[in-house]
Amino acid sequence: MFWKRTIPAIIVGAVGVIMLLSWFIPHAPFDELEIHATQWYDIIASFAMILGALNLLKLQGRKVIKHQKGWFYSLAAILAFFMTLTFGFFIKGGYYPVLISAGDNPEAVYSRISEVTAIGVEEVRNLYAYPSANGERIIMQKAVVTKRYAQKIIEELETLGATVSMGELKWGSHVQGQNTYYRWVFYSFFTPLSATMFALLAFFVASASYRAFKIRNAEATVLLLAGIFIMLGRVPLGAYLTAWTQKISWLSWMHLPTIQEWLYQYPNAAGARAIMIGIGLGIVGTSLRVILGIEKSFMGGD
Amino acid sequence: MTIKRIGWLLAIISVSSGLAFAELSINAEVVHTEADGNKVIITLTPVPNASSYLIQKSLESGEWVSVIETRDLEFNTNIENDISTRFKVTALDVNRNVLAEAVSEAITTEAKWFNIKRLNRFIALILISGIILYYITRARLNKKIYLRPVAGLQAFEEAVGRATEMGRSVLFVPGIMDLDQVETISGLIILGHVAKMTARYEADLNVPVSRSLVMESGRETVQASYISEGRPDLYSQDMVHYYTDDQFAFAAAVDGVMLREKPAAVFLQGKFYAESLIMAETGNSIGAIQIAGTGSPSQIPFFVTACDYTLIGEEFFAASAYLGSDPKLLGSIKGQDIVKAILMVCIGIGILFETFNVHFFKNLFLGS
Amino acid sequence: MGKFTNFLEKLDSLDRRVIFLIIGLVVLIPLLIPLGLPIETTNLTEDAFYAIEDLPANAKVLLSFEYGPSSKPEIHPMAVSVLRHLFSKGNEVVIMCLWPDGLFMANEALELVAHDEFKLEYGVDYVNLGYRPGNEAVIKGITKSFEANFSVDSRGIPISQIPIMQDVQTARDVDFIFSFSAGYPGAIEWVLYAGDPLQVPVSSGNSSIQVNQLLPYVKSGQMKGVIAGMPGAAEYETLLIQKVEGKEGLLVNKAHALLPNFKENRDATKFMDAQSIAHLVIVLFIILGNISYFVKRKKQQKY
Repeated sequence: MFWKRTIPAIIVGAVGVIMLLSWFIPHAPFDELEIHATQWYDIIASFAMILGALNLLKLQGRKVIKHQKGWFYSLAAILAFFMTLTFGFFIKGGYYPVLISAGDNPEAVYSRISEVTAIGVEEVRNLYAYPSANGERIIMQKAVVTKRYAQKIIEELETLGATVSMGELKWGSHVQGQNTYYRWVFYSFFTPLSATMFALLAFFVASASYRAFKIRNAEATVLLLAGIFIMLGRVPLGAYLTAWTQKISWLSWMHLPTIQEWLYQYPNAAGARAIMIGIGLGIVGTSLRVILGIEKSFMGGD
Repeated sequence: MTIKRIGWLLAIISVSSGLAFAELSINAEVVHTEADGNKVIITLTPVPNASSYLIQKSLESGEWVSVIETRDLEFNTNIENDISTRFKVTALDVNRNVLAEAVSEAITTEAKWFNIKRLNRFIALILISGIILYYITRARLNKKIYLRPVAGLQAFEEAVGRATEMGRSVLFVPGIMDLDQVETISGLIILGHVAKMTARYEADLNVPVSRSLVMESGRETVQASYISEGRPDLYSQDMVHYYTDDQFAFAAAVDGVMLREKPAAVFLQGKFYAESLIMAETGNSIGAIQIAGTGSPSQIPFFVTACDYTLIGEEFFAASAYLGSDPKLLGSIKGQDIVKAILMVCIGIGILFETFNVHFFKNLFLGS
Repeated sequence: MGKFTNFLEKLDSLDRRVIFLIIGLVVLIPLLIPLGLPIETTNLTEDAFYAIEDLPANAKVLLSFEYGPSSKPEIHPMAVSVLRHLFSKGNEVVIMCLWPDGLFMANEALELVAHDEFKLEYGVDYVNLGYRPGNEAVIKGITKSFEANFSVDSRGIPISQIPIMQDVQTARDVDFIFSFSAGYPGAIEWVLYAGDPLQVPVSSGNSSIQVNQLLPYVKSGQMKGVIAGMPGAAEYETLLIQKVEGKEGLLVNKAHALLPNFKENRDATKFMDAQSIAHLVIVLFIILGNISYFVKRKKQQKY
């Protein structure tokens, strides 16, 4: 119990007090304590990710092996995991030909480069004339993916009389490089899936509003009216429908965007502030309880 | 007369020669009001025909590095603390020929031991902590503390009981953020209480998490709860399991669990972002009783709309005190309430002063 | 009448899939048949726009990308517009990312605006420092030293070799900070750890739901306006086009020639038609739901 409960509680208390006070002390070593502590935490969390990954593989793997209901979804999860891991750490792609000299037949060379990279011939000619910051002549805007294909392009250009070498994107920056495997996974899988999940919100907002915005009492009525004003006032349709009110001075306040902006910036902001103050105090209270060791249940204590 | 004229001539010559051969100089002075101490004011004396001044500073290695090229005769810059630094100015004409050079005295800056600009917040910290500690101490002395009933917290046991009766599981999501967020710690504290209930009622508990550290911490919490209820046999490590760090992928995973396993009770207690409504609506669609609590102000409306009970703001952080009924925890809630009352009075006073254009009260709360 | 009343009663327990289908259609149709509703600007967006507009020509601006593919439809158009605005004025731009997805978003925006449209030189007119893990620790770090936190940029080039970074040693050396954020870390962290302590002006473009939390900072002057979601992005696009069309303020030569491009590629403005109709339909659903609720309640009271 001493090592599992008491020592962690002492560490939490000591570190908590030091971090709290370091915000008021600009002198070394306190000035950079916060940055170092956050970085230490990130390093620990990064290694802890391995635990999570192993847990994921264990549970999904068990479903596949035992052929439990929906095991094929678990198989998809495991395959996706290993595919992304491979493209991030092992198979990079991102090889491309680097043109050193266009040779005696430059137009043919530029034309072939233009076909491979989908850049216009004129732009290829200009790129060749002005080397980039690292001295490379023509960094292929769209790097070819595999080493083999890049080699094939190099051989073709060399038969046209050009002098070409093989370039490759560096590890790390390869994740965002054009036409790398990782980027393909990001744009072909991750992006549409994320966008779809976020888009579900539109449908859920509609069904939640339909179900919940009922005039049951005075507060619900106020909520309903405020919701309607804000929803219509935020979009161009609201401005369009009430544009006529702008022509009559004593009716100009009825312009939906005006009502919406007032509601947004005054009652809404006031309510948000009040909740944020409450949450802030709650955070202070919880943090104090954790630092003082009053609250230990999240560590497995009482 | 002649002597007088000669004297005047000599005076004019000396003044003119002083002007013609004005010496370039550079002065570096530490700005003592800066808490981090490394701000320096550089002042130059001008030189005729100079179109710009190149300022360099010396590094620890003795190398000179460029700071700025400017026409200003006074400006601020920063240097590293505890390192003796000199500044060199080079006056350049329009053709970038060097007209004059000068080097300043060496200066060393040092950060202060207390940032005086944050004094008001230090006092607030001492006050708030003092008040909360006072009420914790009072609670320890067996003073009864009244907390108003919160419907959401009273429904916890009802929800777990419902799950037991229906023979279905309890789903608990402690947010999507990591242990560095206080809301996640609060969520885990609430998990501990819910785990005690599920141990007592022998209901299945399913805790999907979005972070590995939260998984480890959650396992410790749940295990301790089951042991404290005398049911270590019911505990399994796989109760708390990890899916993914990604926000929407995690939401998809939780939705999948809800639709396949159809838990009777869903607890969404922690820090949530945009995925909150996706989870809450899905929980609503399977007919589960849902109790949500979060410290994210923008997600509270979604939970209020889709869930049966919602712990709003402070109620979420007070949940551990309500559920545990430990006097020390109740005392800290009371202390928080007193601080809130003081803040409300301050806001009222502030409004009054600002209405009459008196700003000193507002300025007490400003900081940097 | 009885059948109609029964129908209204049944609406109270309308299957949510019917609602989903109707919402799907009302979003899809305006995308295919645009309505061209005019965009009216609001104070929040105007404050953000003019905060950037008032920057001098030699100002350096730090842009931080904190969003991913999920919030791309809302935030990417504003990122593109802000980049167009800054490059139209000839400002230099330093980009960094606190979300890993932000790196991809930043590269996309830069490829369109800096490379394809303005044909600017990387390292001289703009730089992408890339993503660093650490959330607010990175923000705190750059208040002391950019090089300590970003020793190389996103292309692996040491920042000491990048011309635009020669005068930018810390966050103090930039004239404005703009955050495109969809969550944590985001605009609030920039205000707390960089804007307020260093007194560097901060503004941000956020998803609509986040704006609630930012309004207190805007009202207190700690943030210079905020671009609120897709409506805000559409307003910013409109303000930019008005500026370039009217040749107002600082404008580089290329900007006016790019005006047709700006008008053609205005994603947020195009999507606002769909959002308008969707909002209207949700309001109609709410009204219908209440009518059904009252009919049901009246019937229950009868018995």
